[in-house]
Amino acid sequence: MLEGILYRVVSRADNAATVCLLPESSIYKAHFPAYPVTPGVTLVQMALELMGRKLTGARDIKFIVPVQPAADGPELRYSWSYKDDTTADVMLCLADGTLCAKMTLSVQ
Amino acid sequence: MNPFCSIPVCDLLPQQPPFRFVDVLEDYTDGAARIRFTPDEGKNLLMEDGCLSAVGLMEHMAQCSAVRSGYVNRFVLNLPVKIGYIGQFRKLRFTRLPKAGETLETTVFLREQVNNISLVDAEVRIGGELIATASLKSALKED
Repeated sequence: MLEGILYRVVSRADNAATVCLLPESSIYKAHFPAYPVTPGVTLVQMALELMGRKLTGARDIKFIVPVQPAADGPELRYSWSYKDDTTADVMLCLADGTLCAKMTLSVQ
Repeated sequence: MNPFCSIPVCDLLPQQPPFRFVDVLEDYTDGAARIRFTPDEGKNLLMEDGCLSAVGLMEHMAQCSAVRSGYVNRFVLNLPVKIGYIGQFRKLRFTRLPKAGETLETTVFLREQVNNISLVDAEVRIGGELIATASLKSALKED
């Protein structure tokens, strides 16, 4: 849904991936005009697309720092692990290691 | 005529189409706001297979919280509408995803407010059927 529109995949491993945000995306013009911030839910959608899963619910999703493509540098690192078949823990960091978001997702 | 329906949501939150997932503020009473939204494949991003996606549903709930804060800031406190961030989603549950053209009626209940951070519970209904709930925390950007 968002690959090629908001991000492209830079590299991919078994339980991790690095993506590059596309600062010219139309999403940044709408969210927000003159103040581009990556919508938190799109950070969740990127995780789902990288894992190849669908969301069925979520116990907890914390957005720790806003992700501004221009100011923070566009590269994001995702890593994830499965607690069981339907529960995934996801971490999202900036290239410098700053933790941006932490998610416990129910997936199928 | 419900007086709330005359307030365009663009006056209550800064998100713009195609990334706007609320249509009308229907009611505001005692900290609770009721908002209506009909997802449209021609107008909205985050649509998938003829439905609003799960993250689209989450964004709708977050924007309902933003409309609530926007209404309070603008019409109760007489302050400008501010940019808001989602801080946290907890206990997100949904039984199904809304189809394009179905009308969502969502109520957000204020549970706690500390400075610019608000915690709300959201309930999303379609024709009276409860389809999704979540607790979410959002922060308004300081000037």
